[in-house]
Amino acid sequence: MAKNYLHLVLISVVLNCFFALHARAQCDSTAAIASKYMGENFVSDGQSYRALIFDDQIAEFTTTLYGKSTYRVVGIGGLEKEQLHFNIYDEDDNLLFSNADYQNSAYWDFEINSTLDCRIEAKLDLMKQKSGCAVLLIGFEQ
Amino acid sequence: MKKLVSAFSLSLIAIIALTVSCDERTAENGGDVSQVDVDSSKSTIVNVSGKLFSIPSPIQTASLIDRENTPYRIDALADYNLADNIPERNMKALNLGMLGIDMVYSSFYDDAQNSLKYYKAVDKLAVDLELKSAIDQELIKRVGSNVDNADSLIYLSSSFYQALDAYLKENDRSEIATLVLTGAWVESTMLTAISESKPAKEALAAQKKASATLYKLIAKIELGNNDFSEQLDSLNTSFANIEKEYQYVTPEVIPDQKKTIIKSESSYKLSDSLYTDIQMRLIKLHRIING
Repeated sequence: MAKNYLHLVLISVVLNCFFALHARAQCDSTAAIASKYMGENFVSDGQSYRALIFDDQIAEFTTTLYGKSTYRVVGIGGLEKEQLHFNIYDEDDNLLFSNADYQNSAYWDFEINSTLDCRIEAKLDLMKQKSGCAVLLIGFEQ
Repeated sequence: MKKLVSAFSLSLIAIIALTVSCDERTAENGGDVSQVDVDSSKSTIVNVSGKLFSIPSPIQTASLIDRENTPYRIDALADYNLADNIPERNMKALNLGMLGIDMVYSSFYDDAQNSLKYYKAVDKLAVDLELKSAIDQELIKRVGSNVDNADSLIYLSSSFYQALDAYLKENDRSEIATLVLTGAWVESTMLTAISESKPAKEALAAQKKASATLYKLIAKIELGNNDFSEQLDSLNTSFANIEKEYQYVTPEVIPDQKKTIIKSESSYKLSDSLYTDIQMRLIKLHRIING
């Protein structure tokens, strides 16, 4: 019995490591796909936004976009484009943009007239996948 | 056959256990991600106490300094020589962010010689923090060989810090990632503050949200430096006193260009005394990090 338990623990540890590595590798692959959409004119904000999300979970964060600047937001879920919804809200929770209105476009540019505090949220398109790594990139136009 | 069935059963149980454990880990995400604002009408929010947070790019902030009308403040920059003598990891991380900004700032003013010295200090700290091997070596070399080209350096150093950030967060070293970003933020915001132009004042006020975000994140880190924590606390209080007004305006969408023009208007009220107070606190923070 003790031997079986030890086997179970060992297998669990091995599988846990395997899936952790697999998840990390998938996130790296997703990030590589996302970076292709950033374009040469846009400079990364130097930060990484990755989250492993399941079902209807939402990954979100707030940020500030400077006035008189143009930004590109890229959003990729899993290993194919157009599988991630991303929405941008202002500080009063007005919806400013949803890529769901544009076939889950993998990227979108935002010309900001006046400095904006906003909330960006990302969730999987559940019609296309139930779990996966979500990667968002933010770049400013140089 | 019996052994095979037994092994299969064990594997199945392990996978089920793993699936449950994975779900739990995603929900709490190892201290990096916490659940907040969950209500029955909304999906579970994977938020953002460690892994997903955002502040304006410190490199972009530094790039917005009006260089034509603002003198080069080499006297205000950090001491790159200190990179050799910082014993403590948290301070190394703060300096890694800070010196990276000074590398880019020097390049903005065509001081390639100084920029190269900061590059070497950044490289040294990346080695000390066991980060260098995780970053594309070619990218690191390209940063060093473009210190005389500000446009390229902005692009390459931003890529460098993004790679660093991703590596640290993926390897459960989010605290170090937060400190690197904080060091960069303090330096870019301080350089903005001391440039004392009208655009600088606006850019400084726009850090109100970033200050609050970083303050919340830093509060969870055991820094072992009371001066730093107290000064950051005071700075956050000062930023909180900046008044902001916001007016929503319907955005304009240009679908064929994949572009939206955000027309909402924000304005900040930052008195001269509060501006001076924030300026002084940023200088103190700079000295604590690179003292």
